[in-house]
Parts: sequence; C-alpha cells; structure tokens
Amino acid sequence: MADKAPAAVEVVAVSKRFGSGADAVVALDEVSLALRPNEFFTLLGPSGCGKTTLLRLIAGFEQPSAGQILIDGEPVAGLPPYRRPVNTVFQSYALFPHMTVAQNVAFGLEMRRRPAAEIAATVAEMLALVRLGGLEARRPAQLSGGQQQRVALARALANHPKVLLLDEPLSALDLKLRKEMQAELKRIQHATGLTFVFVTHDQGEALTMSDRIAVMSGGRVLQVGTPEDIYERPTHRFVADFIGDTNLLEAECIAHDASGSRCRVADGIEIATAQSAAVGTRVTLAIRPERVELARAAPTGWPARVESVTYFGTDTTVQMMLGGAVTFQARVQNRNGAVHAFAPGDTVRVSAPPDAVRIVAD
Amino acid sequence: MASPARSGRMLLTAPALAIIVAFMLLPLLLMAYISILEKGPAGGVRWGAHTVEAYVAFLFERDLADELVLNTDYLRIFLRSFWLAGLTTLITLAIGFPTALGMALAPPRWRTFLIFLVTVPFWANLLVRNYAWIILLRNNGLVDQARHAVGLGSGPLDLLYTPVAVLIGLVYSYLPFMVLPIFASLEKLDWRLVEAAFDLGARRWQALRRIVVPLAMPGIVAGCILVFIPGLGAFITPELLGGGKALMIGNLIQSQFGAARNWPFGAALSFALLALVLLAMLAYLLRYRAPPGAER
Repeated sequence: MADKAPAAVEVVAVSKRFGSGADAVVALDEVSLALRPNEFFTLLGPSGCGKTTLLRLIAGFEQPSAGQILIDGEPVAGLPPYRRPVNTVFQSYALFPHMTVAQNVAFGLEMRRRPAAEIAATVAEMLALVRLGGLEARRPAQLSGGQQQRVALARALANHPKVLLLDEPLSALDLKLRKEMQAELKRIQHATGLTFVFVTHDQGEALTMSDRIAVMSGGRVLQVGTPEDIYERPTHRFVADFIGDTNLLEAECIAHDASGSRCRVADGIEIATAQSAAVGTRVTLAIRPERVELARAAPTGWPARVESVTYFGTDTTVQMMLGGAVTFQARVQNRNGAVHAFAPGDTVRVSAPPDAVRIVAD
Repeated sequence: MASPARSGRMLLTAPALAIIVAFMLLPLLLMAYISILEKGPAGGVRWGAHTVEAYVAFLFERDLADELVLNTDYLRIFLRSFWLAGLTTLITLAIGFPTALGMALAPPRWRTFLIFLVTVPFWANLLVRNYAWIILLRNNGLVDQARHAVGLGSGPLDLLYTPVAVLIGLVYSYLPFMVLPIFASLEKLDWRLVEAAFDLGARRWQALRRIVVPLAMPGIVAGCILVFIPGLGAFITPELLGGGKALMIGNLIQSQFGAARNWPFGAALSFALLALVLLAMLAYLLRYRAPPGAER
C-alpha cells in the first residue's frame, strides 16, 4: 500500500464504547483497516461483533471514542453523515414510504440541489442500472423485497458516493433471491467501480462476493485477507470455526524442522503441519474436513473408528473418533455416485497433507 | 357477503350503534325539525307551523316595513369563531408539534412521565381552569404583576375580556388535543428513515420537512380536527374570558335557547355550523383520500 493513491477508507486504531463507567460496552477495540479503491470489502462476523458499529462510524451516524477514520485520504472526524462522500444501503432498506420509487432515488440529488434535468437523467440511469425501469411511479409498499432492495441500492448510488456501505442488505431476502442479488451486487460494483463495504454474518455470501474479508469477533478484527486466505489459512481458532466446517484439535508440538513441525494429538496420533512452532508448546490445529483423506487399509495415517456417515448429495460426511477420545470429521466427494464405502464401526486410516493442517491462535 | 363471522361482528357493534341512534341521531333529527318550526310566543316552538324564517334570520332582519335587510351581525360572529378557532389551531400546532417531537425523541423511560404531564390539566374541570385564567389575566392579575416586576411597562394591560384573552384560553384548553395525536404518530415513526435522509445528504431541517412532517401527517391532521372543531363550538372560554364582548357561535346558540327564547333560530345556527364543519371535513377527505403511504 505504498502507492500514491490513498486508501478508499482507512480506519486507524478506532475504538467505540457505548455508555460510560462500569456499564460501558466496548463495541470496537482498536480496529485498524485499510480499504483499497474499487474493492469489494466484507466485514464478516456474528451479531454483536462490532461490524455494524464500524459501518455506522464510517457513515458518520456515530463518532469513534478513540482513533480516526479517513475517507479518500481525508479525516472525517466530526463530519455529519450529509457531509461524507459515502452512502448506505440499510438492512431495513429504509425507503421513504410516502414517496414513489423515482422520488426516493431523486432524494439525495434534491438535497444536494442538483438541477432538475440532471436529477431526472440520473434517476433514469440508476433505475436502469438496477433494472427497475418502468416502476418509477410505484410506492415502496407496492414492490417485492428484491425490488425494494434494488431501489435502496439505486437511491444510495444516485449520489455518486466514493464508498458504498451495505449493512446486511440481503438478509431479508429468501435464498433464491439472495443468490440473484449477490450476482447483481457484483455486477453493479464492476459497472460503477466503487468501493463497497459489505457487512454480513453469512460466511458463504462473504466468500463468494468479496475481494477481501475482515473477520471480526468481540469488537476486534481477527484476520484480513482474500476469501482463499481466510478459508485455507485461518490464523485464529474463531476464524477457522466461523467460516465453513473445521476440525479443531488440541495438540503439543514435539518436533520441528525446516519443512514444518510435528504435533501430537494423542498417544500414537502425530500430525505434521507445514507451519512451525516451538517444541513443547500447546497448539490448536485446524483441518478442513474436505482436505482429510480416508483409506480403509493404508500403510500410514492415524487410526480412527467411524461413528456415523451422513449423505449430503454432492458429498458424504464421515464422523469419526480419533484415538478413542477426539471427534473428527471428513468430507468425501461423491464423485462416483453415492458409494457407501464406510459404515459405522469400521476402522479407517486418516491423513491430511501438511499444508492442510493449520496452527491457529485462540 | 354476510358470513356468520361478519354478522357476529356486526352484533358486537350493536350497543354502540344503539347509543348513537338514541342519543345523537334522534336529537339531531329533532333539532333539524325545530329549526323549521315557528318560534313560540314565550319560548319553545309552535308545533306544526313550518317556516324557514330561522335560516333567513341568519343573514337578514325585517325592518319596520317588513322588508328583508341584510344583517351581518351573526355572520361576523361566525367569521370571528372561524378566525379564533383557526388561529387556535395554528398556534397549538406551532407549540404542539415541537412538544410532541421532543417527547418522541426523549428516552423511553421519560415518555410515560411526559404524557402524564400533558394530561395533568384534564384533572381539573375546564370551568375551574378558565376561572384560573381570569385571575391570571385580569387587571393587576398575575400577568400584570409579573410584567411590572421585571419592569416591562406599568399600568394594566387590559387583557381580560378581549379576543386575545379568548385565544389564550382556547390555546391553553386545546393544546393537549394537538400534542397527543402528533406524539402518537411520531412515536410510531421509523427513525431509521431519518437516518437514511441524513445519509443521503439531508440537513436536520430538510429531514424534518421532507420525512418527519409528511409521515406524521395523519397525527397532525387528527390534532387539527380535534382542536378546530371543538374550538369552533367553544362556549365556556369565550363566555368567561371574552366577557360577552368576543362572542363565538357557541355563546350565540346558547343565548338563543336561553335568554332570547328563540329555539328555531338556535337550531338553525347549530345546523349552519354543522354544515360548515361537514364541508371542511369533506374538503379534507377529498384532499387526503388515503393517508400518505397507506396504499397497498
């Protein structure tokens, strides 16, 4: 990030406390982030992790208790929402019920006192962008959830913000519509070239849509990276657990060399990882179920007993007991149809390549 | 159409309907009939003697030659009533809307207490409260004393028994009827819409004018109706604070049934008032056929 272009949004050691004294709730704890221009950036985390608070700080609805926020290189401390070059798509859409679709989209431009001809042209352009041409005269209550979502998007985009903030915009839509709007949002982001800050608790949504993801928990940012980084190389136990399924194993590091280290989970079960850790330290290992290899009679691998087998269509999940005390799961692709190769009670050999075994912080 | 559930529901409204028919519709019809009767020589009416004299008397009087001559005395009382009621509505709106907004924006645990404060005046009889205003407004009353104490002129203001005194009394009496409906609609308001307006570049004033006021319009209209219509027929306040010098329709009607012993004219005045109110309501209904934002 040493280039000349400033970050679209830069969050520097921002904290936010609600209330005061002993009752104070820390919603954000020294969060720092730098968002690149034209990036689809997602704040991902469970409810209460502080992601919406961070969005509201960027929008200007709240002021940080400490730290500062820069938008396009300019500090925005103390600026009210109407003086910031950002616009928000609200979770509830917050469409004005007493105005038509066109009036809703025109609202921001009217507030900025644009000429009438420009307003009319921009409204038409924005409604075309979100594919709502022809519905100008409708009221929000006459629209479906997906259409309301598009109006909210058009209304926020009409102001030509530098950054678009989206607060769980798809959570009220049913699954099919949500998939459709995900693709639609990506298309609009490419068409407009804007920086999108997208807040969601849906990890699938975050993985498929984002350029980069910040995983948040308890008011802190745990990891920032591409969807691949986050999924394949989680740095924290929480990240590994929150995104996708994962096996978390407590282990002790017993050996370590240039290619990585060996960790003992239980007697006779030693797992190699490509990461290094000091000998004797207690570590948590994260292994994705789909990276686990199962074999009925392999010379190597850790012995395990099959507990249950669950068929999921594209794949089958095998629940196992590792070393008699540790539960463990593997996901086997049904590439050749539903082949029930394993049954409860079977003894199998389990292994995972060292690069699939990640040491995660607690 | 009339399903069993529907007719059952109709049955539930029967007691209310019966009360309305017995105590409102029937008296109203009786009054309508009285208004087209001749007045009796010593009050009351002459049953069976029909005439529209009472309605004619509203605008004309008979001179010595029994010719109809335009008489604007009653019309002026009507106009004064509309003027005072209208001004009362505007002033209560100007005071009531910010009050209701402040109440709606107050922390929830305070709101109940604030509503309680607004309703406190209802604990005392309207008559008593109007007498209290006499004490405040009369020459060398509390208002005069306070004015002298801070050095704002000397001598009496002569407030009492003027239209201004009536206006003060009306504003005071009807303010809660403006505050409460507006508060009710503001309390339901989705404040996230205001946040969205700020986000889109609206200043406080613009958000108020473009979002809050339109969405609170049902409450504002209800408040205006609740102030304007009773204000038009106000009787106690102009009687006590106007001292007979600032008569309103209510006093006029009362005097026709009382001292003037002209029941048909009193009834005709009542119907003239009712007709004007209905016209105003009709105009409102045509303007707001559906409340804003309520369409499907």
